[in-house]
Amino acid sequence: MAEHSLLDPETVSRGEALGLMARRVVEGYRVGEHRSPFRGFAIEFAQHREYTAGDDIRHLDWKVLGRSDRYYIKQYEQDTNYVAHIVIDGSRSMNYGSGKITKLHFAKALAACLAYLILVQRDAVALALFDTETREYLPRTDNLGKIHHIMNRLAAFEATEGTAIGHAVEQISHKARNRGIVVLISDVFDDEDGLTRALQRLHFSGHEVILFHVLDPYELTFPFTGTWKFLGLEELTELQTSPADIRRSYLENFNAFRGRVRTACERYNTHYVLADTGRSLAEVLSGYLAFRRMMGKKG
Amino acid sequence: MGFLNPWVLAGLAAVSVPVAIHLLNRFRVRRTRWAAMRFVQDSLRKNRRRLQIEDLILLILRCLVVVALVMAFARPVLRTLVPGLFAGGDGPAATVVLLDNSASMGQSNGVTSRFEEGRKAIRESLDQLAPGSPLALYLVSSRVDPLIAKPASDLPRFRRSLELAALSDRSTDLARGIRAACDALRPLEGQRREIVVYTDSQAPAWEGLDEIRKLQQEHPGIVLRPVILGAAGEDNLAVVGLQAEGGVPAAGQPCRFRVEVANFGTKAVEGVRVTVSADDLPPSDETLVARIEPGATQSVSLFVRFDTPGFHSVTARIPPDRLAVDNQRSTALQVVDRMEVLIVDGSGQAPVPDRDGYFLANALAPVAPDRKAKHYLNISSVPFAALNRAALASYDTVFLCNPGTLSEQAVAALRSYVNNGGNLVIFPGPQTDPAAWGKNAALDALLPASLGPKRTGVKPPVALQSEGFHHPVTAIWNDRGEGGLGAVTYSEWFPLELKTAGDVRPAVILRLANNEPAAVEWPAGRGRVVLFNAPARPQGNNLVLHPGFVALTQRLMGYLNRSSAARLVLGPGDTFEVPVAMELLGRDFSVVRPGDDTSRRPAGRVELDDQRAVVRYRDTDAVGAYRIYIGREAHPLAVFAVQLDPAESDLRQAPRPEIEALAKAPTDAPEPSAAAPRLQVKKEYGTVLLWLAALLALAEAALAHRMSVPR
Repeated sequence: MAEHSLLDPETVSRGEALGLMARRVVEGYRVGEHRSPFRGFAIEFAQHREYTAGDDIRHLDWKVLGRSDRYYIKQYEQDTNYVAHIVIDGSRSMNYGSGKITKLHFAKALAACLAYLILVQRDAVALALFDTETREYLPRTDNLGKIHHIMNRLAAFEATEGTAIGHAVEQISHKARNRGIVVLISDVFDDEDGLTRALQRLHFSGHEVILFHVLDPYELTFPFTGTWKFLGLEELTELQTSPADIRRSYLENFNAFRGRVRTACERYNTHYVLADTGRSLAEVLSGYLAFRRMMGKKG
Repeated sequence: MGFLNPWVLAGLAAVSVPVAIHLLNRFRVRRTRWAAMRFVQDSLRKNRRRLQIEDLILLILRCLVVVALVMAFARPVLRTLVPGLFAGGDGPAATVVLLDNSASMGQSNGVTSRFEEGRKAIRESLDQLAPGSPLALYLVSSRVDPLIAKPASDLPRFRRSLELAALSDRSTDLARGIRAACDALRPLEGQRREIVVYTDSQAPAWEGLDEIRKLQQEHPGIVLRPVILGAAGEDNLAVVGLQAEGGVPAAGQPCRFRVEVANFGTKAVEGVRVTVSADDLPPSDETLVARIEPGATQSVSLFVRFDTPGFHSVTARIPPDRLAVDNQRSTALQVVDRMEVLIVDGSGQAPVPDRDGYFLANALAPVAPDRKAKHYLNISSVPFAALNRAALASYDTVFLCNPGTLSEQAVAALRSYVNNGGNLVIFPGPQTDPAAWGKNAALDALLPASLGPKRTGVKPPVALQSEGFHHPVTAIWNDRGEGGLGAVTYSEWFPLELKTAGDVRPAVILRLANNEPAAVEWPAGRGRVVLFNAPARPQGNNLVLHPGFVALTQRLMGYLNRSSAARLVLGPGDTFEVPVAMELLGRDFSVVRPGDDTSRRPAGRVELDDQRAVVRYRDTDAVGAYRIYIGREAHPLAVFAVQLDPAESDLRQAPRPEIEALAKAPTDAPEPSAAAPRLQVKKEYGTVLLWLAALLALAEAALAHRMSVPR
């Protein structure tokens, strides 16, 4: 089965199918790979800490348990707080799709793939879905067995509200106190200042931030002909126009917007990745991971 | 203003198409849910006004393209009122249509000829014709060709005849055509009658204007309507003259031709290339006329050499212009191998230097004795006693030197000889008795002048004229550089008293300084007779001792030869006639006409006429050279040329008010709506509108592209 055909609305709306799809995409990517771009384990032992729900029991210190009947987890130098927070924009604007796949479908699939990849590599992952508030938050887990849970939550989520990316990220940053990776998947059709504040906050918190800017090909090219009435997904406005007449102006505006987003990303050391829903998921993912590995080699 | 295809204007409804498309585009709305609303909103806010204006401009441009296309196909025209031609709404009128088909009607405006314009105008006028109007159609040039002689109500036949009408190379005489039309309409008295003349109104065509007015007075019931085709003031350059000059054209000798080029325009023309060619071969000589003033004629001399004796054609050409027929002119001539000359003298057995024809014979063949056999003039001498027996027909020219009293047989032989095209030159001498000659009526009728009693011992002697020569033989001495004859003096001569015979008047070749004629000539039958006033000996004059005498005799021979050759040059429509050997009697002959390739058309049979075998050819409408062949002979039996009347080259129109006044002449005919003016197309705008539509479409495409509007 081709990778692209793995992604369809039916797949994305069912947790099992989503998981399977993510596995296939990731396995396909991992063939022949020897080093993960997200690997976070270190060899040096750092300390013990008390077991909490969600910790992988493989890291239990059985000796301590045998001697003292207490549950302690062995912690290593970099492992302690290195969690990948996958933050998905679940606002109504993500419901747009010029084809069968909406931006939200694409974002869910992308998140599933990333979660699977990170868990397979024994890193911890936390998942957050937000619109004006944080709607779903799955705490960190490095247990691959939890992947089904993650997939089910992802699949079940429906976008119903507007966007407040700054506020939502602020909430999430409270929960992700330790340094880690924050993968933000959004169309960023929100107040750009809110985005800037969010990136600023994450940056100063020591997170490595990756923004997957999910956009539909129609939003990128505005190829409509004839007369169209546009019904706002988040606003209640309706606009009737001949898109061809304003195409040039629209593209200028839209590219300027993307330019501003990129500028904000660059300012706060955020990796900007354009996730064009017209391209295949694997293409977007592998493109970015290859870039990341290359950067890792340089570092 | 009007339209040739007004029904196409219904297509203007198509203007609604772009409007409808525009509106349909507005109402055919598709819907979509959209996330990036603020970008659309911003773009709309920024561009709303511009979009409205550009939309409006595009809509207007598209409508204009449709309007321009529809208008173009409707063929808008500017019409002007011109007098009505054929009878209009007052019922049928018998009409004779005269279409000028003279050579000048071949003048082109670059697209079509005047003749075609006339034909088109007649066709258009037929549409306005009252039902049942009988029509006749005549082609008019120097002759009248009735294509439909009597007015008949047969429109299809009229249209067919009109299509068959052809241009000719003849000159014009509209009076002749109008007279024929009046004759055709005379039996229809009591009906409304009209003559409509389609002509380029060339001034010479109306030379018979007085006669036309007279015809109008004689036929007051006939309305005459001239329709003038084309505008006045067309420039035209024409070859109006082409003739051989100098001595006798002989094989292997350069022959000089005088070409006359006339400028009938209103502007001087510079750098006119003139060429001559023989027998349709490439040009053998050419020259450049530096400048020809308007109304002036410039002559140039060009040379042609003929390799073989016999009949030849020569054509002079100038660069093409609007009237093609006069840009070349052809002539024909007979190149001789040798000319036979007979000198008959009265000196009997006298020693050769004392004979009356001695000086003449040496002047005619001024070459060494050993070369006389090769000279183109073969001189024979006989005494008067042998004149009766001499076969005069075999000689081109006969000289009588010091003739005495001529017998009746001798005079009859000379008359027959001249009538059949021979040339007779007479030098009276001591034996000549003017009184006896005056009593000989047959001889007297042959001579261009009567001889008066001889004057003798005139002192001081009278010289020959030294200037003011008018005859082609002596005109060369008008140029002082060519010498003169002023040193020639006469102390004895026969006074010459010029005669007239009907329209024929003698031409004076030479005069004495006291203005008395010294040599005169005139045509007699098909030949010519030249009479001098003194003997061809140094007796009472020194003419024969003067060097100019050689030139005089040579030029005289050339002139007489060309006079014979003049029969080879005809006007359009003239009948060509040439005597041929009796053995050809009854044989078929063919002709190669001007403009034909080498294909020969059967043209007739050699006829018997007055005991002679004669070739006659009548179909000489086209100007140019004609070649007549017997059987499969490679060389033509005869060549002749038909030349255009130079007056046809003058394209200036007769004064328009004067011609238009003909239509206003008082008549008995009811002043009908027949004279009602009609609209004539002056200018068409279809092509301009097509270009405009293309430009508008281009502008629309450019604007739409700029606006990124898909079309």
